[in-house]
Amino acid sequence: MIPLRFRAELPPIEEPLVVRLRDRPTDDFHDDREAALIGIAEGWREYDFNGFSLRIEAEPGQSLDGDVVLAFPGRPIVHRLIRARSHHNTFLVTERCDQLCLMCSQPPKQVHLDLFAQFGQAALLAPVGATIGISGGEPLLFKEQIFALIGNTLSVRPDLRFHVLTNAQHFDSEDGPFLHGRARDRVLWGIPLYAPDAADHDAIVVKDGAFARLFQSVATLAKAGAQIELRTVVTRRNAALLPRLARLIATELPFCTSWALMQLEPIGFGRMNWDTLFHDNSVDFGPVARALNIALARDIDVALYNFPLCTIPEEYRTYAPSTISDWKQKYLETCQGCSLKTRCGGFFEWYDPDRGFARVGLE
Amino acid sequence: MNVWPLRFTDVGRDALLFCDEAGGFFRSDDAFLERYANDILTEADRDFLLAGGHSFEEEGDRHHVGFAARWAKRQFVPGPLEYIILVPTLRCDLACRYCQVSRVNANARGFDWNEATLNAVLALIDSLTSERIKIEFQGGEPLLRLDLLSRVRDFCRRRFRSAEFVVCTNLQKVSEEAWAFLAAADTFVSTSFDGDALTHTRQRTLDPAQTATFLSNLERAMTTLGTGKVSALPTIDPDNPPAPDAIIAGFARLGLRSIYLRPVNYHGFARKRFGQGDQQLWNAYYDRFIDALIAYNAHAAEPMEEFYFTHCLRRIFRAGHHGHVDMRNPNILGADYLVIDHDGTLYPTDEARMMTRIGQMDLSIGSVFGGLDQEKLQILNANSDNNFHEDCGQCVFQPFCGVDVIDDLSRYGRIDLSRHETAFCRRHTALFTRIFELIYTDDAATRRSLAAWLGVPAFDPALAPVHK
Amino acid sequence: MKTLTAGESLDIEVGSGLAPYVEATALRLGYAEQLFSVQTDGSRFRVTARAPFDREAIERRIAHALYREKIRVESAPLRARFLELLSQR
Repeated sequence: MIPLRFRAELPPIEEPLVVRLRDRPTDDFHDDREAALIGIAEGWREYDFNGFSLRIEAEPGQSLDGDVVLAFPGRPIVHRLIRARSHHNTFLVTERCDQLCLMCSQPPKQVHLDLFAQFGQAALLAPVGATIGISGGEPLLFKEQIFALIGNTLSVRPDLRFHVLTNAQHFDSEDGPFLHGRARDRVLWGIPLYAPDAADHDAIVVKDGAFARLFQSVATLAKAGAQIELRTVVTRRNAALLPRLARLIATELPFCTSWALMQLEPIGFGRMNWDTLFHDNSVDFGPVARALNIALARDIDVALYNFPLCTIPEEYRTYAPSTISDWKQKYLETCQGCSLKTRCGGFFEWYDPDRGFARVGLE
Repeated sequence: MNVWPLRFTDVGRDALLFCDEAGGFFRSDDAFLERYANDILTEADRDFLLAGGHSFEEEGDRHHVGFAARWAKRQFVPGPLEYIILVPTLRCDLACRYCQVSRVNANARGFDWNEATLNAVLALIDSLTSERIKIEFQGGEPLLRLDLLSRVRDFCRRRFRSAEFVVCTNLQKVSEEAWAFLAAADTFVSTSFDGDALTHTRQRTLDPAQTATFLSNLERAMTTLGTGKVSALPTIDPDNPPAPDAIIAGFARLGLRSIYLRPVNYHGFARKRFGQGDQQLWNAYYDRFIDALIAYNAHAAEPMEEFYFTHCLRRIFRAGHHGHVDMRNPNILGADYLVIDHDGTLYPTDEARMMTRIGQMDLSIGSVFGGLDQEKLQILNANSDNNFHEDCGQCVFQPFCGVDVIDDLSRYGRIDLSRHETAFCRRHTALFTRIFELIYTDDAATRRSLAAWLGVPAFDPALAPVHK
Repeated sequence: MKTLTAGESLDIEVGSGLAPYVEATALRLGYAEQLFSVQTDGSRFRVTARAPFDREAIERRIAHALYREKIRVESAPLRARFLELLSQR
C-alpha cells in the first residue's frame, strides 16, 4: 500500500502549511511554496524550506519529487495531498453528508475541518494537466467554497481538471453561469444513481426525495452542458434493477458523459453491511451484463469499475478498466502469474477472500 | 400526462410499430392505437409510455428533458470543414464497365492538377479553422500522381495537429514508392473488389491476369499494411450479382470484416433504362445478402457486417450517430466536407461531380480559385432536413433517416416529388423495415448478428420493447 | 373474408369522431396509396381496388390513415410548443 502520510519534523509554523517537495530546485522554484531536498540520511529526507529545515521519514524507493504535502502546527506528520506520479489525487474536503448510503465507503461525521484555503494552495501546485478529485462527505454542502476553489484554480491553472463526487442534491438554476463557464469543459461531476425509481434509490441513500432532487440538479447540469458521470454501486439491493436503470439512463439521461457500474468497496458501511450487500458477480453476472448491453447499444459509455477481470465473462472484460486507486490496491496469491494482471485493477486492500467472490482466478 | 406524437406503421397481422420523433420505438397492436388515438389510455399504457420516454408529466421534468436531449442529438450539426475529397487526376489505367463518366484514359492530357491548382488547393486547406483534417484521394487513379499526393500529405502533416489520408485506388499498378507511401501510419487504403475473381474481371479488369495482379496487390496490402488499414467495396450489378456467400467468403478470406455493398451507379441514359425495376432487384438482393450474413455469423468466429446496414441499425439506437455523409438529417451540403475536382471546381458530393460532368445539371459550388458559391449552397440547403416534410412527418422511420437532395436532383431533376416516389425513400423504407424485422426476430442467430453489428456482447431483448 | 377484385369498389363509413379528418386523409391517400384509389363526399370513403385486395385490409388501412391524420392535428400544438422551447435555448 502506498503511504499517504509520513512522519515529519516541521519548521516552526502557526498556520497549516502547504508545500511542494522538489528533489532539486528548478528555474521557476518558489521559495514560499516549495522545499528543496538537501540530504537523505537513515530513512529521513531533509528539505530546505525558506531557510528552515523540513524533515520527512520515507522509504528510499519512494519518489516524493513534485508531491504536495500538508502539515498542521504541532503535529509531526505530513499528508500527501498530491502525489505527482499518481492519477489518483483526491481532496477529501468534508466528512459531512446529507445522505447515508447503505454502502458508503466514507461514512459521514458531523465534525468539519475547513481546509479550503489549503486545498486551493495545493491545487495551484499540481502537476501540469493533472486531474484533481474532490470528494467527501458531500462536497457541495460547501458549494460556495467548492465553486470558488474550482473557479480560482482554473483561472490561474486552465490546464487542470476536476472530478467532483457529489450526490447532486444541491444544484440550482442560479448555478448555470458557473457551470457553463470555465468549469464546463474542465469539471466532471460524478453522481451516484442507484435505482430507476424514487422508492429504491431513496431507500439506498436513506434520504426521502433524493431521487427527485437529483434529477432537478441534473437538469441544471445538462442545460449548462456540464460533464456528468453517473456512478452505480452494484449491491444485492439493486442488482435486479440494473437493466431498468440502464434503460432509464439511455432514455432520460442521454446527455451523460459516462456511466460507471461499481463493485462494492469493503470499507466503512460497505464493510459493515458486506454480507447483506455484496453481489457476487462471479456467480451471477446476468443483471450486470444486461445493463451493459442495453446501455452500450444506446450509446451510453459504460464501464465496470473495481471488477477483478477473472470474475467477469471474457467478452465483458474489455469494459472493465483497472480502476482501484494505486494506494489501496492489492493482488491475491492467485494473481501471481496471471496473464491479465497488467490490465487488471486487482482487489481493494481491505478485501477479504473468505467473504468475497466465489470464483477468482482464470480457468 | 402528455404523449409525444407517435407515428406508426403496419408490421403484420394486428402488429404495429410505433415511434416518436426522438427515435423511441415499440411494438404494439391496433387496440393500443385505438386507445391512443381516442385518448382513452389505460394505467398500464401510461406507465409504459412514461418509462419508454414517449411522454412526460410537465415541461422540464426528467422525461421532458430526456426527450429534448435525444431529439436534439438526432439533429446533425455540421462542424468545421475537415474532410476533403481530392481528385488530383481524372486519368485511370482501368476502364471499368460502369465508370464512363469519372475517368479518362491514362495517357490523356489536361486532366491533372497543374501547379496553380495544387497551390490553390493547399491555400484552401491552409485557410481551414479545424485542428484536424481527413483527406481522401480519389480519381481517376490517384496513385498515377503520387507526387501530388506526397505534397498534399506533407503539407497537411505540418499544418494540422492530426491528419488522416485515404487513398482510393484500384490497386492495379502499385510501384514500390507507392507501397512506401501507403505504409505510413496515417494513411489508409480504400479499394474496389467486386467479391470474386470472375465478377471482378467481368466488371473491371476484363482480363484474368490483371485480376490476379490486383488480388495479389490486395493480399499484399492486407498483410503488409494490416487489416485495419484497408477497406474494400464491392460494386454490385443487380442484374447479374455474385452469390452473397461468395462475396462474404471472398472478403473473409482476405481478413476484411466490413462489406459496403454498392449498386452500380448508372448515370444519364443508362439510369433511365435501368431505372425503376432496378430498385426492386437491388432491395431483393440486399435482403438475401443480409440473410447470408446472419447465417455466416451464426457460426463464424469473426463476424462480418454490411457497412451501411450496420450504420442504419446504429442510427436507430444511437441518437448521435452521424458518421456517414450520405445519411444524416439535416444533410447540410458544403459545410463539413467538400469535393475538389481535377480542375479545381468544388462540389458538395462526389455524386454532384458526376452529374455536372455528364452535363445533366451544374451542381458545382465554386472553385478553389474563387471560393464557395454561397448563394447556390443556400438554395441546395433550403431543403436539407426531413423534420417538416409532409410525407416524412407521417413516417415512423423519419428520426433515423436523412435526405439526399443531390440524389433526387440526379434522378428526377427536381426535389418536390412525393417522397415515396423517390429511390432514396424506397431504398431506405425497405432498409429500415428490414432492420426492424430483425430487431423483433426472437432467434439466436439474428440476435448474434445484431449484437455484432451494434458492437455489444449480446443483444438484450429489452432493446426491442413490446406493449400489449 | 371478402376480396375485392381489381376495379371493384367499396364504401367505408366513418364515425363522427373522425369526420373532421376525412378530407385530408382522402387527399393524402390519393397520392400515397398504390393499391387502391379513394374518393370521398366528406363523411365516407369510396375505395376502388387497383389490384385484388382483401376488404378487411383496406378497412384497416383507411382506419390507420384517419388516425394518423387525427394524431397529427391533435398533437400539433404540443409539437409546436416543443420546437418553440428548443429555439429559445
